[in-house]
Amino acid sequence: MSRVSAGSGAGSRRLAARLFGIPLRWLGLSAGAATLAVSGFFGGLEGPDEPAIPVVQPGTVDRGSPWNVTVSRVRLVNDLGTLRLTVPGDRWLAVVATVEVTADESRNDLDDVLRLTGVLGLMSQEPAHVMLMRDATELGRLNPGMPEEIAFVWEQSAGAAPPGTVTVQIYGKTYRMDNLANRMEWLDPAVRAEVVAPVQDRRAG
Amino acid sequence: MSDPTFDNTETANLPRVGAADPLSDTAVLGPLRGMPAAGPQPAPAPGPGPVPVPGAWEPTAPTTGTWEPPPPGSGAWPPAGPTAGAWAPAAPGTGPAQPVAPGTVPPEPAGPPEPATPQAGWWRRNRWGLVALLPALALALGPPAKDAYDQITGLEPSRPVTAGADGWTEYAGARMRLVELTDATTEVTAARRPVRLPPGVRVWRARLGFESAETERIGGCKLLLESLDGRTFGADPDELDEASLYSNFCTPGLEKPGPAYETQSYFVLPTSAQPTAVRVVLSVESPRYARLSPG
Amino acid sequence: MSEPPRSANPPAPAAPAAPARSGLARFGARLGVGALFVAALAAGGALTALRPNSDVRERPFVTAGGLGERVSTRTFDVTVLDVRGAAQVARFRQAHDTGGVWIVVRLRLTARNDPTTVGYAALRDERGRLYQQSERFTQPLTNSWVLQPGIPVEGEVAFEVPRAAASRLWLRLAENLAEQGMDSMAEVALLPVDPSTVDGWTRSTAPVPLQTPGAVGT
Repeated sequence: MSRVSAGSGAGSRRLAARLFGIPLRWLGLSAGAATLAVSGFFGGLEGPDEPAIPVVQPGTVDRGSPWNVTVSRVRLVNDLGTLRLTVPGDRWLAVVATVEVTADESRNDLDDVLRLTGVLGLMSQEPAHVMLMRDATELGRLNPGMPEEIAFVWEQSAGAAPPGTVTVQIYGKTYRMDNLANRMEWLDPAVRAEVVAPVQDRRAG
Repeated sequence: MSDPTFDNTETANLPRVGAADPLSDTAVLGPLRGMPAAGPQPAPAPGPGPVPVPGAWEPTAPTTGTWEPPPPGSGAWPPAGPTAGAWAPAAPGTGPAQPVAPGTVPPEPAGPPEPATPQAGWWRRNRWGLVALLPALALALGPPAKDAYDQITGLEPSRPVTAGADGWTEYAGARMRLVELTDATTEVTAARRPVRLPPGVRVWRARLGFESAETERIGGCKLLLESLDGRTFGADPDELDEASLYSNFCTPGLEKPGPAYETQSYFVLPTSAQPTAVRVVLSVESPRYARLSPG
Repeated sequence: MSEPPRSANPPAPAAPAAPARSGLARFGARLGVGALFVAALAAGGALTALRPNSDVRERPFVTAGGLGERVSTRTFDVTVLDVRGAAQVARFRQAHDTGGVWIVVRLRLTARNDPTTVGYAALRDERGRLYQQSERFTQPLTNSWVLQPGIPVEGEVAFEVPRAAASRLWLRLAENLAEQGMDSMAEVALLPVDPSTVDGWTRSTAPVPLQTPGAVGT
């Protein structure tokens, strides 16, 4: 600054500024170009990657929090004992999975464990019933460290084609500080893994 | 205490619903087929991590760059620590440095405003701000405190509404009174379907009179029988589940429609508790409740 | 040697020591402000970091006790009368087995001053894991029964726990099922059981019928 102000006239000051400016700009531009080139070489110019959702084989345990999930089989059935279809003639689409709570407390959000994608005519996004296979009772609560075989049951409209294969999405949650409540909560339900399973048609008649 | 009607052998042969279930068959699954055409939905991005706070807090140059040590005797706070020496104005006439002669206006713009009376203390210079602080604090803290107090006191029925000169209590748009409070233990235990009551428990029946044009407004009322020691007991208790007793709280019976009607409700109290009044509680009226005394 | 004020005058070359001194003073002043600023930020940050979160601040007020002792909370008293284990329990003539072991706790509950319910019942193990009462059948004592002051009610509550956790358990009871924070809670230490006893429970095939709650004499 002192050198510029010490210049004798306006012309020489401009010259000095140009002399200063050109290499700086050149330096900046070339540094930027080099950065782009290097980052582009390492994939910096590609679009942001969606995290790939791992595909899990049926019968394989998918470990995570707040539950470990093993999807065993998917079936179409007409009749499930005491369960009533909202529209007579519809069918049940049931995913049987073993769920073990890995959190430290009993969980009552079991209808958040699984979702189905690519199935037309489902009456609800979340399962209509979550049944304990052990005694066919509606399961509201699952205790930690006690794996249970559970049927997640959706009602599919009779008008929709019965699926040959379904993609079962396994959801997980994250135990983190809820900034609003300032306490630890299980938040951010997100697809953790997917299971592509064939549908066994066990409808009677 | 085992269920007298229970039979172990019977239970052992209970139908196992799960075993008969069509889902229980553990057939071997076919090989996994290819991905469906629809494709998986992309997962939501993972939750946001900690975001670095940009260094925007840096004091801007005009403020700090032109800050001058305050004139001696101005009472301005000198910072503590090792750098204090560069700051602290020397006592008048003692130190070698006289940074700014009193009254000299620093040449740089945007410097801290020179106090009108350099000799005045901090308290004096800020007196109006300090005075204004009091109502500001009152305004800032008062309403939330009152809000919290109202919320806490409004939760529980704490303000009894008692009877007027005519013996009736006006509450929730209705008039009500306690007609009768009687010991109904014998009635219950000697009924056609007698209820087995444990020793030391007494049954009380309260008959209430109502005058109400809009009975639906008091329909959801809760009744409590208050004892002399201040404890309260709920109407239609689980202890009397076996008895077919009719407690209709505040709503008229089907047989007697009309604006004036009577209701009856049953309570259980330990023998030691002496009932004194019936409370009629509506949550929408909280913290007010009607306290109906006999007589 | 007074320091010339940085006035409109051009820099005075006659006093070579003065500009250095002025620069040092200004540097010191900035350093002082900066240090204060950083100190204030650090103090604020430390306070925020040390402040307990809601889970700690709003934790329940626990009253502890042992088997057979009367434990008082704000709204109710509890006495644990008996604890047993089973492979199957029966309620309404339906048997229910378990992947772990059933723990059946017999309780006496009494409301203190006002009608109250005990909606939260859980067992805690040594690792701190919490097993809430089973919902596979209705358990009226700890779901719906309205306790009246001074009239004790006895009944049983059934829990499913992993076998490995069954040896050492604590019973937790509170009024509110959804939220136990900032309210009274009873915690009763159940007697330690050796693993062979737990094995014995799991081997017994006869379902254990659960006692229906009822008022008992005062």
